[in-house]
Amino acid sequence: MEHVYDVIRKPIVTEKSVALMEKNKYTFVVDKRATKTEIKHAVEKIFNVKVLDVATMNMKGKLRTMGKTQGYRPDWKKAIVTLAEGSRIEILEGM
Amino acid sequence: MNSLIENKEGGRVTLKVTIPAEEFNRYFNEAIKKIAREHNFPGFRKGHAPKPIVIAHLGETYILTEAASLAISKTYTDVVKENNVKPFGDPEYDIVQVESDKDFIYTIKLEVLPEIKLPEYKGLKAVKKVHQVTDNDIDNVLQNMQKRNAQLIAIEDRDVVEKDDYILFDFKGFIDDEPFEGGASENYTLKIGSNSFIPGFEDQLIGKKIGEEEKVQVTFPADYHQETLAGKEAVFKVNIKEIKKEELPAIDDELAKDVSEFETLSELKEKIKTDLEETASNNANQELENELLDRIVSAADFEVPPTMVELQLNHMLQDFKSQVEYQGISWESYSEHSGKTEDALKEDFRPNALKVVRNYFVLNEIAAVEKILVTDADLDQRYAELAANYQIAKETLRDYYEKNNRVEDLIYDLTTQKTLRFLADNATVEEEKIASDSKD
Repeated sequence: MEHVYDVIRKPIVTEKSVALMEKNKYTFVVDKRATKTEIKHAVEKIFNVKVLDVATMNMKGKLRTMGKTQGYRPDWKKAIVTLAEGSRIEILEGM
Repeated sequence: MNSLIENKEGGRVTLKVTIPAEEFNRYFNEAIKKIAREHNFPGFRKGHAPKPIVIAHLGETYILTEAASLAISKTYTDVVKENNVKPFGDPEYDIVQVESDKDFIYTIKLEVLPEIKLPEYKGLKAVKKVHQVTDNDIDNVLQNMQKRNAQLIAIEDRDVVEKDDYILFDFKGFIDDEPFEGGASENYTLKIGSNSFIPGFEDQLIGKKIGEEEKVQVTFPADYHQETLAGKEAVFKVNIKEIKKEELPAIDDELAKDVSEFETLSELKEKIKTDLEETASNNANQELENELLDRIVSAADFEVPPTMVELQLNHMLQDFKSQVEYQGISWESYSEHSGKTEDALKEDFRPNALKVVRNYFVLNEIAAVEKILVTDADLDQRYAELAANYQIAKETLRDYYEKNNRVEDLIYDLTTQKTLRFLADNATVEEEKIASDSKD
């Protein structure tokens, strides 16, 4: 992938993800096709931090109905990035 | 928290309160918790959003405002207690400084109940003027009774109408030979000289004869209330059927029996006398109490909270308005005709309102100092009196007062009454009898 912002779509800010920040783990929505290595490089480049580990998971899109018709939201990929000790992404902590 | 009185004048006090940064931080956190509970933050259950999220979403100013009002409401009571003021009405707040991690400073503007310095209110010298009931007064009452029992007796030996006669007659009015609405009646009883008909009508009837078709020609006054008739000329055909005279009954035992439960005139007279004497003595007492209160209030030195006067003014204005409207005049048209705006009326009422409020404070203070309390027995007695007045059961009345939260009013009335009584009892009173000013 050519650009880091094509890899990392947006951060996930929920109760669960905020709780993980304490363990230096930050959660993102990433491109479906992105690999762990690509994610690692992207996060290191965007936030200027050192990444220890990347865990990824494929998420199924949710079933949505619109009147009689129903369909699925697009599937997506979630990445939980563990940073090296001493690295932080401050702006995410207040989103 | 520490607070100090900045300014004190005219019944108003300004307090300056400083809450140290550390203490204010607690209010800040509390505010965040409160806001988190009240708002939805996507991704978080209600009340579980962390502090930075809340701040990022709503902005610091919003939370500071919330924290400030929280801090004010929590500290208000203590501030008032610490400075030993008696607040009245709604306080006004002004925030001087509110920033995170800095001292929170605000001012409160309060109206305070005045410190009342009572003048000497016991042992005042006063003259009680009691109206002396005379035979003349009793006769007046009897004459009124006599008039109320007057009867109309037909006159047989005269067929020409004279002034002060009562006549029974039919009439039919025409304007330009056309009968008009409301212009006719049959068997109408009219007193000649009572001016109940349009001017000229009654005068023209004098000298007319019974049983003959007579005509009366009149012009409706220009300001007649029925606009279609005003200023028009009309001819009335009248037919007088009977001439009557008012006959007053003799003042004797017979009349006494008719108008009262008494058998004889002398008993009735006795009763009238005691009634009149009671009224006279009540009036005298009231006058005495008012005079004493006036003297005490004008000697008392204190400042009245302006809001309270304003409240009383509004109250009086409302009363006045409903009085006007009770007479079937809309407030707008009254105000237009009299040329008085609400504000002008308020100015008219102001001296009175001031007096009412001052009286209230003085009476309250005396009642407090002298520990004049309304007992259950007092209340019960008042209920009984009122119930007798309205002719309903005492329990019904009590229920009504309790359900409508009117008991407080009643207690206030009774306290006032008792306090006034107390003043009169503790005054050196000289009684002076004054002769009746003869009324006819």
